[in-house]
Formats: sequence, C-alpha cells, structure tokens
Amino acid sequence: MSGWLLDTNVATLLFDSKHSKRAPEAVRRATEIVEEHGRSPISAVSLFELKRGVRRLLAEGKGARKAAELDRWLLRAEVFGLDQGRFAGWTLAADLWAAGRAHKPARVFSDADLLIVATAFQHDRVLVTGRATRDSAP
Amino acid sequence: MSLPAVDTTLVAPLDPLVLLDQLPARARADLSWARPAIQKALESLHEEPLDDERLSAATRAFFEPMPAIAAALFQHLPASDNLGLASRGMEAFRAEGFRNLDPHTRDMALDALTILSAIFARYATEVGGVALDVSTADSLKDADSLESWAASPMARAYVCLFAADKMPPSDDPARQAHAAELVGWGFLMLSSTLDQLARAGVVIDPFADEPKGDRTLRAAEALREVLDDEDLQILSEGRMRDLR
Repeated sequence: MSGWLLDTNVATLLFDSKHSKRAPEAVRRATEIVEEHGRSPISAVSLFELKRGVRRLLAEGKGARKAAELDRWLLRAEVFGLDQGRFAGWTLAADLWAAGRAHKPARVFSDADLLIVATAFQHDRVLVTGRATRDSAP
Repeated sequence: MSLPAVDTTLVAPLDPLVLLDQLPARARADLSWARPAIQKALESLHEEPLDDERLSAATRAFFEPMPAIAAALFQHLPASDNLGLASRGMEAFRAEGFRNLDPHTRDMALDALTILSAIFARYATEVGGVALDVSTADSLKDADSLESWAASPMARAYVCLFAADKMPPSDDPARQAHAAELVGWGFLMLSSTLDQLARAGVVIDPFADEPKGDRTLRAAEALREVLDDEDLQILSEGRMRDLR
C-alpha cells in the first residue's frame, strides 16, 4: 500500500463541525493523514461532490466567502482519478461491480462508493471511510 | 504545450497606484487623470450590491488607464527590469497588502495572491521577458480587447482583490463581510482561471511548495468557522449516489 485515500465523508469531517463531534477518532485519523501526507488525498468523485457543493453554495446565495473557503481547501487536496493507463480504473470499477453482483447474496454498492473503492485499488491506497478504516486490497 | 494568449504584463499582480508612484514627477503629472479613475473604479465595488453589472463596469474602468500607465512605465524603466519590477511589486504587495482586512480574510487574500503569482511565474518562465513590453498593454487601447479582457475571470479577480485592499479598515461587521465577499469572489475567479488553463493543458499547482499539512489543516479550520448547519446540509445534498 502506498498511502491513504479519504472517503468524502471522512474528508469533510475536517471541516464539518456538526458531524465531527460524533466521530472524534475519524477526525483524529484524517488529521494525522493530512499531516503525514501534506494534503488531503481524495478521489475525483469526492472532488466532483464537493465542487457541486461550491456551486450550490453560490446558487443558494450563501456568499462568495463560503464557496471560496471550500474551493481553497479543495485546491490543497491531492486528487486521484480512474483515467490513467487507458482508463484502467474504470475497468477495475466494472470488475468490482460485476464481482459484487455475482456474490451470493449480491453486494450492491452505490456508484459513488464503487468508484471511490476502485480509485483506492487503482492507486494502491488504503481507503478510510466514515464507517471503518479498511484495507482496499482485494 | 503552448500557453493560451493571456497578456503577460497584465498577469503580473501589480498595484497600478503604486506603479504611478514610481514614475518621475513629469510623467505622473501627465497621468494625473489616471489615479482618480482607478480609485473611482475600485470604490464603486465598496458599495452594495456586488453584482455582475457593477463588477463588469468597474473592471473596464480599472483597466482603461493601463495602456497609458504601461507606456510611461516602459519609457522610464529599463526593459530588462520588467520581470524584476513585477517580482518586487508582488513581494511588496504580499508584505504590505490587505492589512486593512481581518486576519481570516487577509489569509485568503494572500492565498489568492499566491495563485496570481504562480500563474505569473509560469508565464514568465514560458515566455521570458521579451513579451513584457508596451505592446501587450497597448492592446487594451482597442475597445473590443478591453471588453474581452474585462470579461475574463482573471481581470475581475484583480479588480476584486485590489478593491478589497483599498477598503478603509473598519470594525463594522457588515463592512468586514463586504471585504470578505470581494476577496471570496477574487479567489473563486482565480480558481476558475486555473481551471481554464488546465483545460488548455497548462496545469498549475499554486500550493505545491507549501509546508506539509499545516496550511491544509488551516484551510479546513477556516472553512469550519464559516459553514453553518444549513451550508453543511447543502454540501450533503451535493453528494453523489448513483450515476443513473
């Protein structure tokens, strides 16, 4: 394993004062990872989700300051995607999806979760989620 | 990969009012009209509403005197010192600028300046000093070019940041919030400029050389301070479930 990948729900604990109180251990681990790694390692899916948040904050009239603060945090994230090597990460995601469906009983994930897990596999990283810290190795 | 056509002189985040001060007395006198025109443009952004129409008009008015200022500057300064002038100007602005703002807003403004400096450094590296001459700023004499530049996120970012820098210091929360909005818009427009450049194949990471971790955590802390429960709910609604 070459590092960590923060799921969106863990990455956002770093700035979510409401939910971070309920998960102090996850906040502590995410903080350690950022200190160790230098940046917040997230997937392109998390970037997409949070960029939607930036746009929504503006559209809802919440002001440029809030949207800019979120954008400022995102500019310091290290973002991992699925496109490298002839989009091999997407094929990996398809394999995971198929393996989940073939499992008895079938294991069905949301597309967001599936793509984030595939990103962790693709980059040989340990995925840190809100529910548990689990090794992403097959 | 070639860079998109952006005016290199204008990429340098230099305060035109400071540039005017550097000119000999005679040149300053010839340009006596420029200072009030720039100040008026910036002051127009100190009032509500901070909307697109106001920003558009202020940006045009702010850049209108630039060809004349650049011409005078290049006439009185050695051309070989153009890049040095830009570097010194940026350093001075970083050290002295935005001191009228509250510490959190100043911190964001300095981050915005880091982005501007990173873009400028990339252009300076790629094109060298040769492009930094009067002809580039001269292009803004043409009304269509001025209009086009004034519509760009980078030009608007400049004007928002300089307008924030020129706001009188105030303890009034409403005025502080207005200054923070100006800086916020400036930052967002620079982020948009980075995206535009990335789409053209020029990827710039403005914070690549930062000390490990602490700035990322500070950015998270700043974000934690401004987001309320309703904002967090909005962010939560941005989460992705299934693609179809």
